Amino acid sequence: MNLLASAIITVMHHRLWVIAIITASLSVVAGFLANKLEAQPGPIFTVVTPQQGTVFHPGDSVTVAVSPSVGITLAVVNVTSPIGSATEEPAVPVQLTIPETLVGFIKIHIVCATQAGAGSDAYVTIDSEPATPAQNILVSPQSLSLAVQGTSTVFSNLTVGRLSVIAQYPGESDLDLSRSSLTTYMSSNPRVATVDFYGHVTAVAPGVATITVSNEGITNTATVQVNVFELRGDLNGDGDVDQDDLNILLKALNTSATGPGDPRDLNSDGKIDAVDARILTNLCSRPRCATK
Amino acid sequence: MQRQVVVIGGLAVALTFCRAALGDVILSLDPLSQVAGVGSSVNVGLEISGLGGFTPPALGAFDITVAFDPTILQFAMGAFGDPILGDQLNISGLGSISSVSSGPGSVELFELSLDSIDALNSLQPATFTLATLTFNTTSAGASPLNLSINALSDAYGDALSAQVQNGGIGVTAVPEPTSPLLVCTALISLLLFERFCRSRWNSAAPRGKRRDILMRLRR
Repeated sequence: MNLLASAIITVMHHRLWVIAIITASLSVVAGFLANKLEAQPGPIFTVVTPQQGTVFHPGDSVTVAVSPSVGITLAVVNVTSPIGSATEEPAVPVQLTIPETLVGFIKIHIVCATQAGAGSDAYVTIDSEPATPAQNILVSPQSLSLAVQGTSTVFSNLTVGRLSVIAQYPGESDLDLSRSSLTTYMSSNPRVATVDFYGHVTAVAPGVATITVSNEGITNTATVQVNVFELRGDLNGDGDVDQDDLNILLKALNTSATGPGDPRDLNSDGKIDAVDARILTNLCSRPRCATK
Repeated sequence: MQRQVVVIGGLAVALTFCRAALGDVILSLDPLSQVAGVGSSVNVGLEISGLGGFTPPALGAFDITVAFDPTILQFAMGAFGDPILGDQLNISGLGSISSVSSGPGSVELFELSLDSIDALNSLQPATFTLATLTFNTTSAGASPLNLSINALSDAYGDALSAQVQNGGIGVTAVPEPTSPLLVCTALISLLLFERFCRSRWNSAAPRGKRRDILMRLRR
């Protein structure tokens, strides 16, 4: 009996050894394969031109060049407009032309690849600004009416408007400076409405705020009137639910809600769609959602 | 034991099909598939079925995209409403808001009823045509007609879930002959056949024999 037990233990020991050897072999093979299959690293390169933050003018030509250029191909993708590319070796500099009407930051995506196909990329942001200062700037709209939902003590900022800044030049066509890095926006009352770098105005609480817009020493203003609404579906805050509110909702059809409190997302499912439109028709103050 | 398994399996399958057939709202195309020649126009109805039928759920709004192959078909127009029953999202005459937006290879149909909840729930049938789409066939091939639901709402403003049945249009290279052409061809064929029979009759049977045959036929 003892002999039998010792024989079984010996076999078991052998089996453990066999299992250990197989496991070790498998891990070696797996490591080898993993090394083989691992993605080849892309080429290391530096962007010679344009330098980060360089200021150009609308209509300027921008040369995108990388170093080293031998042994790699160069492609410029995902630039505002137009997209240029060069696939020869050595990587020939790519010429881009900034559109005459484009003002503001332009993000350029540069991709370099080796002959084997491995690639790496870099981003460079340049700025396109008018060569001469504007004679006058116009802010549109001059008056903006926004609405917030809530009670007299708690408000949720819900509606967003956008200001556009048009620069006028003597003898030349107008230029949209809304996204220019030289354009600044300032709210006189951030407790009523705030404004961001690109002129998006967000209603915060009922009241009046003046937005001052400046570009290279020239200023202009726009008045923002913020109303409060407590009626569900009253998207323009005029005290009733009607076709005007429906039109506001339909303009945003099949888009995502701006947040949990977006008044257009009436079923709070995160998207504004035909279901919300139907809910709003049921909330209308008059048949057919007729206006007053 | 085996028999029980078979019976239970069969029941499960049957229940699944019953649920699909009775309980679900289905969006489909009518006809599901059809064939037309190049250069013709084809009508396809967008149908809904499985609604409550004069009881909830009724359809309050829909937003549906139909995708097709733009190299084979070209969207021509879309008409809302059932050709026989009328627009079932405008039952009480309060109107509806509708739009058709077409892009390359797709057309989006949106309609929102301004009818009251009660009107939709009590007057809308279970099955009807939402809209009729007209396509022009531009080249030979087979184009799928794939439906995708952007949103479907019932009368109350609750989202409706639905199954979709996609369809397709086959376009043949040789245009199918039109009806008048077919009639003309048939008439000419009949005329030729009649002349052929007459000539055979005249040549085959002498005058006396013909009389005998006719007499026998009269009897």
